[in-house]
Amino acid sequence: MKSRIALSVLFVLIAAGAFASDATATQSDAQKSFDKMKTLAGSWEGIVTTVPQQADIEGTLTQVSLRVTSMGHTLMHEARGSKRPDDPITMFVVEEDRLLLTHYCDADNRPRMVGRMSPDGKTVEFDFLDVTGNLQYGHMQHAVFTFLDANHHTEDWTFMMKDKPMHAHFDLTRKN
Amino acid sequence: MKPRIALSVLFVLIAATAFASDVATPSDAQKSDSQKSFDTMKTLAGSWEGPVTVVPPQPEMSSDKPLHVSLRVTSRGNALVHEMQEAGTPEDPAKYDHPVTMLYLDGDQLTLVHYCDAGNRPRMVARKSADGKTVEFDFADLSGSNDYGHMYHAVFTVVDANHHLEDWTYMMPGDKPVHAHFDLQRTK
Repeated sequence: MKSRIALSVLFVLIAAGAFASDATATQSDAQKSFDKMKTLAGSWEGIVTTVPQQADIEGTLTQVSLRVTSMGHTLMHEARGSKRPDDPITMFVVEEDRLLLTHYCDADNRPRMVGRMSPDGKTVEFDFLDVTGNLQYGHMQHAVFTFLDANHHTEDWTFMMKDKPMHAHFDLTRKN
Repeated sequence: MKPRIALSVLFVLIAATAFASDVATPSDAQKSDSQKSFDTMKTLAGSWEGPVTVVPPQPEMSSDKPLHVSLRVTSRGNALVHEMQEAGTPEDPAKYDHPVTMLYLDGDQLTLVHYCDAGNRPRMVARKSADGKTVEFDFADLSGSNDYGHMYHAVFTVVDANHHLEDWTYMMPGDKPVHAHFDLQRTK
């Protein structure tokens, strides 16, 4: 394990495969949910629909990328529209037998949510846990990832503006 | 303010200039020390490459392979993303995955969370920068497994617009520190 430590120190991963062998044989529900989320790794593109409808963004084309990082310990989600380069980032990890996401929001806060996979394995749904940062503009409250097939998934995100929810639905097709 | 909220909900940022006009931007004199340090960190946005020096030396680590570092401002300027990997390797997460560090202001604290290869997430908080060129982060807390140790300390030093240094200290089990020094030149 010495080499693993050295690589962690140096952020340089030479032999990721060498570490796969020490994974535990029995996976927790959180790990299974995380593994399901990792199947989304890749680049995606699709149209947004909103409720209540937001005229300035309804039907907008959005690019989403999901990348497995940190030697498989993190899934990184980025989304951006076509007219601006910066983007919010969501990080998924397994922590204390929970699948957690932290959403680094454009609204200058960082809600955390806890995820669970449905019994049929077709959705992973995240419920709000807590939030840090600026709450002046509200915060992201809920998220659902639905797995349709290897090249098609949907994301449903709910933003809470005080007591008023706003829902965004992303219908995404894999680009690679 | 409604459009700003809508965009936050949807992660789709269409009209940046519209939002810039409805947010009061503090002058340099009004900015907190943390905001100034965050601004300093944001000047590092770009791609960087350079050699790594390790103390104590790690024989497993090949010293002739430089490191590639990228920094990106995201989340409408509210976060800075730091990523690194061995230079010259393609960005293929199946083979060359790498740690990611998120930097942001949490209240009046410049904070980083390091999503580590070791399977944990140390959080560090920046000290006030004495010279405006060095931003030093001290360990605050850790989430996740500590079986293989954790990152403990980080210092970013801006030498000039195209040159910066990073000093990361990793605490091995048994509280044995290992120090990695990155000497990075901007590549774009």
